[in-house]
Amino acid sequence: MKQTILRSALAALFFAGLTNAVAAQSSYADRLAETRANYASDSWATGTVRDGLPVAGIVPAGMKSAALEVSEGLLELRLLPADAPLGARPLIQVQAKVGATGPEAREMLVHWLANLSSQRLAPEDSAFGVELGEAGYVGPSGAADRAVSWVAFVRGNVAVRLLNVDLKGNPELDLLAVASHVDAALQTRPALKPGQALSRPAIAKLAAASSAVTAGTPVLLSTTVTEPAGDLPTLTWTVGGSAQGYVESRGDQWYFFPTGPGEARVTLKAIGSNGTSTASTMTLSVADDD
Amino acid sequence: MKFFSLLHVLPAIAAAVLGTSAISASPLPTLPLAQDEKFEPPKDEEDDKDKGKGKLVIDFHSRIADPKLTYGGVQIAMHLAGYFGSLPICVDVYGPTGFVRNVWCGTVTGLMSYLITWDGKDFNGDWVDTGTYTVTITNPVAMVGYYGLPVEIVRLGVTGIEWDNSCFGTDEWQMVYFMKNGIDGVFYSTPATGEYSNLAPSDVSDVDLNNGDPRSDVPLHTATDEPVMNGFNYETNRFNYPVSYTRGAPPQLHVTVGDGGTTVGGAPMSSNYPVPGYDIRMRAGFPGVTDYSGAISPGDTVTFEAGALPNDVSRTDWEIFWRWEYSGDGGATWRSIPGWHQTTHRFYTIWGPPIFKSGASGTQYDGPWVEVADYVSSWGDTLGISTSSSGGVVEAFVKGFFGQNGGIAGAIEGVIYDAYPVGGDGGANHYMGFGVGSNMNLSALLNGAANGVYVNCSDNMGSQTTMLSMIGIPGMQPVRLGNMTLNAIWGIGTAAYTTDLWGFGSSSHGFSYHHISTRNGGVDVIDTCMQLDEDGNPGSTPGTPGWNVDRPWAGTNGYDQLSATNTVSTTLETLPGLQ
Repeated sequence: MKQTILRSALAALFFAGLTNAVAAQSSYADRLAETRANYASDSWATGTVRDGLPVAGIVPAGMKSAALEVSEGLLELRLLPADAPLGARPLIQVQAKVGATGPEAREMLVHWLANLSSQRLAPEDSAFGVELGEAGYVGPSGAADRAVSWVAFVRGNVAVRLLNVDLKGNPELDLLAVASHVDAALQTRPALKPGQALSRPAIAKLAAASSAVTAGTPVLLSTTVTEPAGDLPTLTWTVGGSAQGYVESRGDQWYFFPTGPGEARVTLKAIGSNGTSTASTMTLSVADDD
Repeated sequence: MKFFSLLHVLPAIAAAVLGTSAISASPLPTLPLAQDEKFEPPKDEEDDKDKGKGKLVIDFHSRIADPKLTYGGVQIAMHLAGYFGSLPICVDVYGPTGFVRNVWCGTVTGLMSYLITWDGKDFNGDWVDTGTYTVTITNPVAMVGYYGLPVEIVRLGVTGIEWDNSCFGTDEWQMVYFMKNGIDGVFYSTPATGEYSNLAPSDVSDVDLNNGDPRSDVPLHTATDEPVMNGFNYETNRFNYPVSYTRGAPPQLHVTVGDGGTTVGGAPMSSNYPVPGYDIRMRAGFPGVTDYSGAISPGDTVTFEAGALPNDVSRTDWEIFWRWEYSGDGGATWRSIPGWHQTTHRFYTIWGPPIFKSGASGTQYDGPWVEVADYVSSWGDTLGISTSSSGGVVEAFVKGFFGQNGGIAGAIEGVIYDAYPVGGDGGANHYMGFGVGSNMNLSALLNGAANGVYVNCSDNMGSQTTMLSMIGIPGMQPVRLGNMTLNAIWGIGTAAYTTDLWGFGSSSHGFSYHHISTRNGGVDVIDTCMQLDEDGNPGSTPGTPGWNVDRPWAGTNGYDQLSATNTVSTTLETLPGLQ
C-alpha cells in the first residue's frame, strides 16, 4: 500500500503526544518492561501461529535476496534489485524471528522498540495507512517527505523488521509496500495445530572422512540434510573451537580446510524454506602440520 | 661465438677507459665485494699461473650459486699481480653436456681488480639447469688455460613462512577477514600453518614458473575486508597475509625453503644441494637484526628470530632479505651465495591479547580483524596520537571513529547519528542486536555501513567495546544508561552541536536510554556516539568539543554532569558477541 503521509503531517503526528513514559530504568530488563508498558504490548492481538515464513515468498517482484543467515534465531536477508551484480549494495534488510509461539515473536518486536533512542514512541502503522500483522510500527525518516527508515510488526509467531539501508540514495523506497507484501506472504503459510511444532530442516548426517586431521590438509565432509517442504535448504558453516579452518565446496562436495591446530567444532546450519533452522556440530582434532 | 665474444669485450674496454676497478661481464649489475667475501681463495687457485706474464690471481669465485636469485649469478673476482702489463683472457662456462657459453673476453691489466659475473644463462639466453659446471679462464691468444673453477648451480628460494609466538610466550594472533565474495559476515582467519605461501602445486615446481623463470614473490595482501580469493573460493596456495603480534614482541618464524626447480624445457630439476663437502645455511636480514639458520636441505623448514616490533599499536611493513651462504670448512667460515630473495610482510601490533565475549566461539573470534587493526593504526598515524599507552590507543580510537577532526574527514564508514533532522529516524539500532543474544554486527558496519549509514548509541557501544577489546584493551564493558534529558551534544556524523536532536523541539531533546562503554568498571567512560560541550555552559549551543576519552563519570566535567540534566542510572553489561 502506498502511503502518502507528508513530512508536515508526520511532524504533526509526532507532536501529537506520543511521548515515552520515562521512568528511572537502568537495566535492559527495566527498559524492556518500560517498553512493554509504553506500547501496551499485552494488548496486542494474538495471531495465528503458522509454520514459519516463506523465505522465497517474501521477496517482492523485481528484487532478489542475498546473504541469507540465521544468527541466534534471527533470520536476516538483504533485498536488492533482481539485476544487481554480485556484491551490489542492498536496498532493504529484512530481519525475522520465527518463534515457536506468539509471545516469543511479540517479545522480539518489544526488543526492537526498546532500542529506539528517542523518548518518543514510534508511530503505529495505521498512521501510515497500513495494518501490518497484529501490531506494527513505523520509523519515519527525515531523508525525504515520505521516507520510511524501518517497519516492524508481528503476525502470529513471526516478527519482522525491514530497514531501508540506503536512505540517502533511495529515500523514496516504498518500504511500507514491501512490508505489506511480506505480511501477505506470511499468511500463506499453513497454520499450526495446537501442540504442533514448527517444521524444521533435519540434519541426518554430518561426518568427516577422518576425525583426526592435519592442518593444511583438507578433509572430505559428508552430510545428509532434508527439508520438510522438499526444497533445497540453505547451508551455512561455522568453525569454532581452538582450531582454525573453514568449509568450502569443491564440485558438489564439502571439505573442511583446517588451517590451525587444536579442536575444531564444525557446525552446519541448515536454513529451511520456512525460515527455521537446524544446526549440528561435530568435533575434529586438528594436528599441527609440523 | 664471435658475436658473444665481442659483446663481452666492449664492457671491458669501457671499464679500462673509465678506470673502473671492477667490471661486469653480464647484463646483471656488478656488486661491490662484501667484507665477508674477502677470504683466502682455495689453495689450488693460488697456484702461479703467470706463464711469464704476471700472476693472475683469483680472489674468489662462487663455488655455489643460484643465478635465479635477485642479482644472483656466479661471481669470479681476479686481479693481475706482479705485472703492470696486460693479459688477454676469456671466461667460459662448461656444463654436463659441454660448452655452455662465453661469459667474457677482454684484457686484464695490473693494479685493477675485476669482477666477472655469469648470469646463469647459456648462449641462447636460457637459464641453465641446476648441476655442476666449470668456469674456465683461458688466454685466447696464447691458447693456454689458467683456471678451471668448479661451480654448483643450485636452486634456492622461500616457499612458505609461518609466523609464530615469540620466545616470550603467546603473542601472535591469526587475523580475521569478514567478507567473502562481497558478502559480509563470512569469516576467514589467516592460516596458522603459514601466513605467507608461494606454492604452485599444479606447476612443475614451487620456486620456478613452467618456463624456468623464477616465480615472483607474493605481494602483500593489502585489502582489509576480504582475503585472497581464487574465483569464489579462498586461495590456498599463493598469499601473503598480515600478521598480528602484541606490541614489542620479537617474532619467531618458520621458513620453508624450496625443493626442486624447473628447467627451461618445463621439466623438474633437483635443487642440487647439499653439495658434497659444503654446508648451506640461510641468512635472514630483518630490519636491524640478522639471524642465521643451521645447515639446510631442500624442503626444510627453519626457524628464525626477528627483532622486536614497535612497542605501540600500529602497522609496520618489513622487507626481509633472504640470503644463503656456504661453508667448505664445516662452518668455520661462511661465504655468500650471490643474490637474495626478498619478501615483504605487514605487522599489526596490538595492545595485548585479543579479548572477546566470554565463551564465544567461531572464526570471528580467532584474532583481531585486519580492518579494525588497520583503522586504529591509521587513526593514530593520521591524528599524530601516540599509541604507546592504552590511553593513547583509546584517544586515537575515539577521535578516529568519530572523525571530523585532525585530518579525518568523517566518521567511520560514513555513519551518522540516527536522528530525524539528518535524514534518519528516532535512533533505531542497525548493527547492535538484542533479543537473540547480544551481538554487534561489526562486519556489516565495516562493509561500508551495509545496514545503512544511520547508527544509534548501541551501535556505537557495540563497535567501541568489540573493536577496542579485539586489539587488546582490557576491561571493556558496555554501560547502559537510563533515560536522559540531554544538554547540548554533537552527534557522530552530524554537522554541529544541537539542543534539538530529534527536531521536535528542545523538550524532546533526550534519550530513552543510552549506551556507552568503560574500561574500568564505570569510573571513566568512553563514547564515540557524541561529544559533550565543555564550554562551561553545557546546556546550550554553540559547544566546545569534549571528547569522551576515559572521561570520568562523576565530578566536574564528568560525563554525568555534562551530558544530562537529570540523574542518570547506570548498569554495567557484558561484552557483546560479534557477527
